[in-house]
Amino acid sequence: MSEQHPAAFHLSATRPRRAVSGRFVGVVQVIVLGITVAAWTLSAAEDRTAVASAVLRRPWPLEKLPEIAAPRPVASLYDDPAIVSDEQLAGVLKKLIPRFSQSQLRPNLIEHALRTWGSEVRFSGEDTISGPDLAAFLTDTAKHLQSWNHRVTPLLVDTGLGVHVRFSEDAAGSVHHDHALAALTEAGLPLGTPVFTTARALQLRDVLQEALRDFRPDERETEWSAMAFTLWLAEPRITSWHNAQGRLVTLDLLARRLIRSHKRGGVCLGTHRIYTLMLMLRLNEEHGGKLLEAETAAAAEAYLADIRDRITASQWPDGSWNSNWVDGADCFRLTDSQEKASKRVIATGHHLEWLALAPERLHPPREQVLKAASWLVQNVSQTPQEEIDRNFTFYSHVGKALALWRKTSPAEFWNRWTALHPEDARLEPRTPGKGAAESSH
Amino acid sequence: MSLILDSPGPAAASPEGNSDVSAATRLPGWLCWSPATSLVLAVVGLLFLFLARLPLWHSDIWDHLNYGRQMFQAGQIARTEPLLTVCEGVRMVNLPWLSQLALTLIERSAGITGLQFISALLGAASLLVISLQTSRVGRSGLAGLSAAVSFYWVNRHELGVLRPQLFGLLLACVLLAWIFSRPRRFRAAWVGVPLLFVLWANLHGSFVVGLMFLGLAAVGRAGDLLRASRSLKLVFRDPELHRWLLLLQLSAAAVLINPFGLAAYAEVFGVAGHPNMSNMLEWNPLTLRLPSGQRFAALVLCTTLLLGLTPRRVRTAELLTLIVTALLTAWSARMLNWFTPAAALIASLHLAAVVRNVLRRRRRRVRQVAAGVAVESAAAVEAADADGLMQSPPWIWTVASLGILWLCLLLNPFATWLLRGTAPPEAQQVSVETPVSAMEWLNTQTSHPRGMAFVPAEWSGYLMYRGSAPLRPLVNIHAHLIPEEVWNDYMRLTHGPADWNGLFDEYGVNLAVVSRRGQPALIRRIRESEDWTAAFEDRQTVIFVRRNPV
Repeated sequence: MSEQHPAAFHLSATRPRRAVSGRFVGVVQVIVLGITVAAWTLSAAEDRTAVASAVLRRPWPLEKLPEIAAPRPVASLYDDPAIVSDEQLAGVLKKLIPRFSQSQLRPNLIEHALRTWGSEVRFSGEDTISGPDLAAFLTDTAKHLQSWNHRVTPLLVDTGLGVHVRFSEDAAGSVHHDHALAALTEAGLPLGTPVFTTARALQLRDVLQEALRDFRPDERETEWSAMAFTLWLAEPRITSWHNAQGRLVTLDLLARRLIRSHKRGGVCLGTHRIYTLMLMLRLNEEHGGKLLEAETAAAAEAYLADIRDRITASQWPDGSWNSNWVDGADCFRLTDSQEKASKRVIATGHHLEWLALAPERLHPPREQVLKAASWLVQNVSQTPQEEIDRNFTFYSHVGKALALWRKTSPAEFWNRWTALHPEDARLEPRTPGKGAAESSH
Repeated sequence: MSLILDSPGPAAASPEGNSDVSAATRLPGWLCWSPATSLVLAVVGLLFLFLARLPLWHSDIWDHLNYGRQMFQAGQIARTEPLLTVCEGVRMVNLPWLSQLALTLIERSAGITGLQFISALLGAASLLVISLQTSRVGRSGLAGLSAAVSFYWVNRHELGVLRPQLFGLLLACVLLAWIFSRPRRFRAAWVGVPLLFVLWANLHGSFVVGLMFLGLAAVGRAGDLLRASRSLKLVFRDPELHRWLLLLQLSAAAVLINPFGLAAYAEVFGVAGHPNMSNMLEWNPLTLRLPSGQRFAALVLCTTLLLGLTPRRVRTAELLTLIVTALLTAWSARMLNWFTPAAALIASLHLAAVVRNVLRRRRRRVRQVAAGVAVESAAAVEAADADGLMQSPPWIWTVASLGILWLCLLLNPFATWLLRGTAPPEAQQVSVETPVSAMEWLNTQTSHPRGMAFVPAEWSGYLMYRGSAPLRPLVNIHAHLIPEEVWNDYMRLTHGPADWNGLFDEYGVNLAVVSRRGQPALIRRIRESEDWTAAFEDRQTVIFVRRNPV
């Protein structure tokens, strides 16, 4: 290395340079290596993950999920026959038994049916879809493709890291992000439930992991994601994780995200946000306040108290609420006289559903709850079956809400009821072509 | 060295570089400053005084002050974005943490006047480093003058915007000055350059530009050798190339001495490729429609012309530096900041060589025509003038230079503030785009409506920093930290879309500070709504408040 370079004189305006000694090169390498190793080891774990993700061009890795048993449903706090009697509930539920056309079956209908009836219920009618088939439609690509004659993109997409449920793309897809996961979760399926994509057999765990990974808190609809995540993560007390972008998502963030928007916004007239918030508060309470910060829980409680005041002031004399419930006392002045009747079913059914989970301090006066339930029962009994089928997604909430007020589930009640009244279990075949529901949310 | 041009030759590059004691003055050589130094100091001093009076640019600085203040309050560097509600949980690799702390300290102790002063100081120091080095290497005051003027002319906008990048610019200029210095001393550089990079990585993410300059210097050295020797073997055995590569290695490792370690690299490239940046004008390609694009094109043309005419050898490193930084500038306007000092330095060196060559030919012609007769040509007069200047005692230029420096320090507003304790009203110290009146109105309110506020991204920082009540703007100018959905919604809102009310509902916006110039369509939309009322209006801003807050 000490040899003089011939071109050095020619190119350099300065004196010729001495060669760099091997020892010096070695020292530099040691310094560089030392700094690099020190920088790596002293860096925060998140910084190391960021570097690895950037270098490997992979999404931020999801924290390993522990073994989680099927989430416990959040139970109703009331069994109040004054709200709905057994006969009334049976009458309502009978009209809500899923009897959809098997052709071009939309996942949204199945999701609503599944969350209402669960995955174990059995119906006797020929054209009915029992619980296991409801669950299979959402977890087995073959079933989904069969219904759509193999002419659509599968509902379940294997991303390599998990299973993504298509949504907001076409009629063969789910309508809302994580709605399918939320339905499967509410139905009580365990994480080990097989999930079949076109390529391989995976598990419900892979759907949940993909959902946790691809969740972005600023999506328009976070209601179902928040609900599903809280239900799954409450038991192992996991309150935070990183999404694919490396953003730290916490249950507090989910709750605050639900609270931040105007109450008139959101799906189903803003009522799903309320339901999810109520559910989060209940789970937080059941887990000793370990899921949410006290400040967030207080904000959520205040939010729900405000909802209570609004619905107290906006109930119509017949007991229903409509899409202007958010306007409180101004509701009657601002209501559009041309508003569809189904809006009242949506608003009243959904409100009664979350109220069944809410402590009494968040209730409007009892007579208002009674009136609302009475209106729903009457509405269902007077509405033709075809109309209910067309609006199945809305009405399914009515069935679930009323069952909750009897501290039961539609499936549990129906099994009990039909055991005592077997004649109700026999269902007459429906008129062909009248099944498929049109409306959805 | 003459005021304009020194005669070429192997003489010492400048008196500053000579450590001998001047026999005439008994001053140490480093204190015998040249007329060129005085000339460059005078020009840069004037620019400094101008920059020190420039109103503070309204956008970036305030966000950085907010982050600095947050760091002081928290006593640590935030790992997730700490200021914006919509950024909760978003990872933040806050590379310019050190400049944010420094700027916040300055603002706390000397207010906006202090910020103006530091802005001017950083800008002028960058100009001075490049122009003094050009004058020294080119042995010409003209070269230094040209470097200062062209650097300022093309990059004047960036020089007037105080943000951490200005720290980076100064360090880039120091590095460039060293890379293109003659003689180049490696001994000090083994410590100095890595230290510079440690500082740089903690001041601003532009340290990668510095590494690029070092890399280009190494490749340039290899290119020069290859051109001269046509032998790869010789290239690989070249000690200087080895030095460049080792220095690059050391500098790249030195960058890792920052609170985020290796993540600093990931962050720099992540920011540049972030989708939100496509909405930032300064990250878009530079076009001729922009005045800065026109100035860039003019500098590129002049440099190309000079490189064609120059008798001075064009080094490969010079060419590579010019080409790469020019291409990067065409790719992203923000890179103009790094092209300009390099181009100003290199072009000015070759300008001096071209002018020197022209004058030499003219003198030769004059001598030939006069054939020994003492005919005084214009060139001869100039030469005599120059000689006259050279004959002045060396200390004269030192005194003159120090006098210029003293005047610069004395005549700027910061000195006035120091001596008299008075500063101009805030409205005069900040750019006209700064929403001063809106801020004053907001400060008359005891509290703001709950929820988020729609505020133009470039105003958020100012209203947050200067406001007396906490404000929760939807976004700020740190677009790369903001979730893509939110940024897209914000950008749509600025154009007043039909669903503006739905978006305001979605984010729970109860207060909207809207720019008349930037968002006229949104103002029209909100005025049409009965849900909102205009609570404040002036020539610049309309502030709307939701009648029934979310």
